[in-house]
Amino acid sequence: MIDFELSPQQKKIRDMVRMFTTNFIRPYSLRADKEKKPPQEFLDACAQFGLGAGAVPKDVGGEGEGVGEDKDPQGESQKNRISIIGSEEMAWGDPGVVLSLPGPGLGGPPVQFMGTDDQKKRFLGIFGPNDIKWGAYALTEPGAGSDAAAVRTTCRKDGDHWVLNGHKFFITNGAKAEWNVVFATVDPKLGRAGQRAFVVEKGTPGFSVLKIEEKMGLRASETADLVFEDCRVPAENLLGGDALYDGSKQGFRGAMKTFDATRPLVASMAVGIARAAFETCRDWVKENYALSQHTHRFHRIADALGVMKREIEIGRGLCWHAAWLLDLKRANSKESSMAKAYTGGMVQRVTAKAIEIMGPDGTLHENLVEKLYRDQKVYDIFEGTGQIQRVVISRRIFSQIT
Amino acid sequence: MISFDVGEDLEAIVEMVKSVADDVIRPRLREFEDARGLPEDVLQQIHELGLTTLAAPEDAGGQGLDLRTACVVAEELAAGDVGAAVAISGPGPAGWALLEHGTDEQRKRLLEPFAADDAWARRGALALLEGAGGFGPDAVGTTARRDGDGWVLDGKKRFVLDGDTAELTVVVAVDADAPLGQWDSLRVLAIEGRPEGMTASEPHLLLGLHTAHYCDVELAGVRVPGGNLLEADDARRALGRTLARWKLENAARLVGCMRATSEYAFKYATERETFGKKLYEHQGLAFMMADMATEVNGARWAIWRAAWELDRTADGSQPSGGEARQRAAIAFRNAIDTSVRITSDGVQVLGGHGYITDHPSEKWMRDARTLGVVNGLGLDDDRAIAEEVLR
Ligand SMILES: Cc1cc2nc3c(=O)[nH]c(=O)nc-3n(C[C@H](O)[C@H](O)[C@H](O)COP(=O)(O)OP(=O)(O)OC[C@H]3O[C@@H](n4cnc5c(N)ncnc54)[C@H](O)[C@@H]3O)c2cc1C
Repeated sequence: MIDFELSPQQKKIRDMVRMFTTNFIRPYSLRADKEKKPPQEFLDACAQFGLGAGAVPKDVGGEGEGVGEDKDPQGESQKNRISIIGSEEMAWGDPGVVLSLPGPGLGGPPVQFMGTDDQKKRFLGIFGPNDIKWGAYALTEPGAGSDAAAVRTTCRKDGDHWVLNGHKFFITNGAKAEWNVVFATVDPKLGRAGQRAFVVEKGTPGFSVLKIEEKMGLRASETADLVFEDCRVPAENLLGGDALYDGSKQGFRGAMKTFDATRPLVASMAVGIARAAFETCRDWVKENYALSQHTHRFHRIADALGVMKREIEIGRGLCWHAAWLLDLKRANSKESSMAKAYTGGMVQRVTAKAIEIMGPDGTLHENLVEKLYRDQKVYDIFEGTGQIQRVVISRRIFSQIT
Repeated sequence: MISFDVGEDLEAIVEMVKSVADDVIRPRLREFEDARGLPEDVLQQIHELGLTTLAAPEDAGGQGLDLRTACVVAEELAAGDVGAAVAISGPGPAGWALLEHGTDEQRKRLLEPFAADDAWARRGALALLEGAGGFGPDAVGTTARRDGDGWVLDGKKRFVLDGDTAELTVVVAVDADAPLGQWDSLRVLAIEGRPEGMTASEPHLLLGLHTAHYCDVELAGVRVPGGNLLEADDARRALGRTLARWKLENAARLVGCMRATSEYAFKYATERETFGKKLYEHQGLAFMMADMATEVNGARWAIWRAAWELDRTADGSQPSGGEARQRAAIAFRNAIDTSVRITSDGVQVLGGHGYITDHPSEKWMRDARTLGVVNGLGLDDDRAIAEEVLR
């Protein structure tokens, strides 16, 4: 039956996260942007409230409550719906800080999907609920972004080690991570089939951080350039072991499936950003136009706020649908891409409009919308650019029709 | 006769400005941004080329060139970097105000100092905006009170470009003895130097345009001699035309910025490959870039059309000034909207690389959004257009 009421657990999580972001993220948002690091108050609160918990499933030694492990009232998993409700709230607090949430981050899913039980324990088990630690996901290279098959970082088996050589680029939390999941190739000519995924731990000889990127926005989040020079990685850190890469590529395809879960997540962050800009702008309008609601100016602003609100709602609907499909274990690649493609453009329009309505004040560095405008752009770039989402959507549409 | 030919004289100026934009400005744009202003050598060079006094009348030492020329030059300079284009010295918008208000004697007296050889750092400012954005007779709270044969100014102006250093500040205030909310009650006064009672805030740190100094200016009992009251026959027409000139100059800068980011992206698209093809060979991206190129042209022609309208009515013809105002509103509003979209697309073409400071695209995205709103003038333009449509 069609129903948009949040389940009791979804409500509980939303309210908890909202309380957390309101108290421990939003108040430090502008400062974090200036200092280019997540606020200590936020990290302390993460440790205190055991926020690392949700990331690590119980069956591999996670100590957390296992957010979303409980079924929804219809008996279905609600994990993905809960995750996107939470990530909208988090990004509402701050889009840069949310990427600094302790835990395995984007590195989690490949370990979870591809790793052996032993690897899951070794790499995910280290994230205790009260720990301030990160994992990271290193796929992109200077010459390989959208086209992940163009990865040129090489790996070569040498005894009981693999030797990695190459350069990874734009890696979120890559420098401070306990480990990076690194994608390398045995032979570039083989494309995806030649790729292997490794967990490279901090301090591995031959692994170094080249630099931290300076970005337009999202400055609280670390974006690192990583270099591998004859970096020797123990064979037991090859995700899934040799067996996974035997012929079929099945294991690797499974790993790519993580997009089906992460794209709605990132898309819902864009919804959170747009909502934050919208609310900031709305409150400002209420304050500044309290006595002049009859003016022509107020009417045009009111219209614009209406359009912003509409677009935010459309975006959220697409995210919820994609996550719901996933919870029911139905195919959702097309819908994930729709959520990501739409919200990437929507958040650009909404934040730009918020600045326009607030006028010069909206461009001031002490104004949240100024920062949100800088932050939002990347939501149409990472986790697959807007163009790549459209490639996915159109392929799916036409494979259904033809 | 309809013609888009800039002509030989302007062509020569364009060549000259282009070389400054390409060779002097573009390579150093991050340096200027970090320093929050243009360095001496660049200011001097721009001044020596006469770009600071293009529109000032010839008897005031300027070159007496029209608005079309100013717009073409503004675009060209901004094609190097829009932040630099906004940060050049000269009378700036104060000069536009003087073309529409005041007498020949006032123009000569107040503008001549800008033409001196050593005036390369001299700036003029227009102090207009006060509240939450927008301008009209009901949005002016700064008062001008008659005092003997002079005037006393009190109030606070916001986001005044070069408000901290201007040696000539043109202030729009309301006559304390006249009824509120009427165009005829507005007084336009020129403050020379930095008199007692006038203070400026530190330049605001904004989303973009870090090279430009937008400051709040406080006027507390600032005395202005009676000879510096800049009068006009029709206050609404004159102020409307002043703002129209300023809008068009800024619209042209936005077009320069759009052009810069587009051309940068197009070049990148011929170099980078994904999935075995150059970026421009992906039709999804190629269509986006085709739209960028189209909208840059469309925006420019709207500016030229409006500038032509203002130039041809500069002699006082078209008394209401409504058509010129409408044309300027169309051009400015369009430049604001398209520049926001195109500078975002300029980042998009570079993907993640566009988001980091190694490339200028992210800067232009910030600059364009900032220039589009910092004058506070765009939001009323839809209305200005509609008013004329329904007249
Ligand atoms: C702040 C930030 C954090 C990041 N974090 C991570 C991380 O943690 N781990 C990681 O591995 N990566 C990360 N990335 C990298 C990100 O995923 C890539 O930037 C993204 O995939 C795009 O790749 P690219 O930058 O190389 O752009 P390119 O792939 O070079 O794309 C350039 C342009 O071409 C377009 N394009 C490409 N192919 C096509 C096509 N077939 N059809 C139409 N258009 C096309 C793109 O849409 C884009 O507009 C991060 C990036 C940023 C900016």
